[in-house]
Amino acid sequence: MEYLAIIFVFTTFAFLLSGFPVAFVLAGVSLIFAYTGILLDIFDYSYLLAFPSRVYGIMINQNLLAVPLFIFMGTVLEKTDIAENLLKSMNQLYKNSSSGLGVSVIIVGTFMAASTGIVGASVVTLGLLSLPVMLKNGYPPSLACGVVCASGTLGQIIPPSLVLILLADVLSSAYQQAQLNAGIFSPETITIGDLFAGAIVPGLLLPILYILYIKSRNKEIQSLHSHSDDMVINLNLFKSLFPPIILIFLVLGSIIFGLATPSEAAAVGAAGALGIALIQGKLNKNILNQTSLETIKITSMVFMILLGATLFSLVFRGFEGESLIHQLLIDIPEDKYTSLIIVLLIMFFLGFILDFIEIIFIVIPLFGPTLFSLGFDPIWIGILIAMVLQTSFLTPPFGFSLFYLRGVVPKNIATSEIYKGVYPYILLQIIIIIVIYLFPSMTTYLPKILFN
Amino acid sequence: MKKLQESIDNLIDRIGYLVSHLVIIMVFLVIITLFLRYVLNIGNIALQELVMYFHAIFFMFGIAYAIKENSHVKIDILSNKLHQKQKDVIFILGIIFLMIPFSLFTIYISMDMVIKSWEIMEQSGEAGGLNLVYILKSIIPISGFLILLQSFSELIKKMILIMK
Repeated sequence: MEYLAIIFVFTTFAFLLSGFPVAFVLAGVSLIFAYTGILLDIFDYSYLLAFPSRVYGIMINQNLLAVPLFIFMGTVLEKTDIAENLLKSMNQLYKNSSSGLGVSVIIVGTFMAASTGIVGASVVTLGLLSLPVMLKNGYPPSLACGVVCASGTLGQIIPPSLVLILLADVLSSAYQQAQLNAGIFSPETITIGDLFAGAIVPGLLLPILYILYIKSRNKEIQSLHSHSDDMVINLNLFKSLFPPIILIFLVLGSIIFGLATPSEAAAVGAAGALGIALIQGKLNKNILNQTSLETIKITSMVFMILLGATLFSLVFRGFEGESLIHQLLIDIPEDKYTSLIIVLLIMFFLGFILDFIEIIFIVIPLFGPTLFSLGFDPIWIGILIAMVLQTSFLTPPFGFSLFYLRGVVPKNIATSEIYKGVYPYILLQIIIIIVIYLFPSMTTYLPKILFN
Repeated sequence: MKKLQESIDNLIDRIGYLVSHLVIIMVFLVIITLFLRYVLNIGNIALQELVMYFHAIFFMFGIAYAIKENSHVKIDILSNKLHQKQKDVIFILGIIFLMIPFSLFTIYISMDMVIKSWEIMEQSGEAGGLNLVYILKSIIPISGFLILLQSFSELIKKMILIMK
């Protein structure tokens, strides 16, 4: 019976590679297996009957309301050029040092990541804005590509990233499941705020390490620019720099200090982005139409994957897949830490072929309950997963960020230059992962003092 | 056939356009709830549930529109190496064996839940909430139907391409 679960998983992965939309492959292949199983009398129909109430559960989930609202805020900031102007202003501030440009790309990338939380959007935007400027200023192509790719990908780990929001939702149900299995009938939960707070230390460490690295490569940048312009702090600079920064702090602060739920903070952020656009005279009917349409496309895409993955995991459970995973993680490894490392490695490799949304919705429901039953801290696990996924997206040749960046890099720059540029950042990320692994309190301390 | 396909696209386009603007309304409704709660100290469950209803309509009805706009993510590292014709054949097979069955399944499997909800005119679980749960649940089969419509449209489009 359990071997059917294995065949089911591998068939699904094979079909995913067909290039047909992921969400419908998940849903469709699950249905084919389920109905074949029913015909052969080896699959219990009641697993399928659970689907409508699962869909209804997703529809009334208050946390998931944050998804469209944050996507809307991000697209408003992007489509009204507020994000772009932020970068240009940062460039002005740093004109006196040759690595300054790289540093401002990192800082702006960090803010952009925090405000949109959508990796594809921030890598592409950062690339379009900053690559030409950096190349013109004597940056070696690999250095320029590397810094754009790495900073754009920070969107995974810096709150309020979409990854952390979705991760919190899935982790908390896996965590509760594990406690119910262990006979605890008033299970503890983890919230989006917990995960956001846990991500702060690693989310700050990474950009700092990136900046130190860029500074260390200062000498290789043969700046062609004469440093004639002094720092030009004028009114324009002030206007484009401060509103988005204040907005981001407002949104983050209200979530972390528990003043608002993520959905409410997202609404405040979206309204704030609209407000900034309005004051800057960039808000019109056309922009509103464009951003709404963009938001519904991305949101429905995310939710359709969620629906497909829901069906997938119901059918997986119907074929007794859960006990299979349980055995896999309990029997083979010597101790629980080996289990954890195996799961993280699996996620790292899955990150090559699946987007984070799929990994979160497919893999965590499968492995989560078993991992938590081994007694790991859910926040620590959550941050480790987010970090591993982020590293995976940056790793050649399949990393998603590399695809996004390739799309906006001038054709005369070889793909190998991009690969060469990201390696140092991959190394830095691996170092941070190891540090977090060795010192879990880096992620668990802040949530504890903020929320207890 | 071409006529039918174009009118489906038109319909889904119009629904997508209308529904997409709900996100702006959602932003302002949440702001109003916050204002009521923190400034005037009034909790308003009905308003909160209204946002929830809009959210459900927003992403459920948007699925068909996202199919039309080709926004559902796919893994194309392998299929990128194929010819356009081969890709079209894969897509047709996918629509017939994966997408259409899913839409039919969604309509069929949710019917029972929806009919039961209409029979008792299901009320909100919260006091002071919107007592329209039967409408909220009806979104599921309707969304399945929209996906079915758009699958037909995509199927016709690809068929015409491949016949050429």
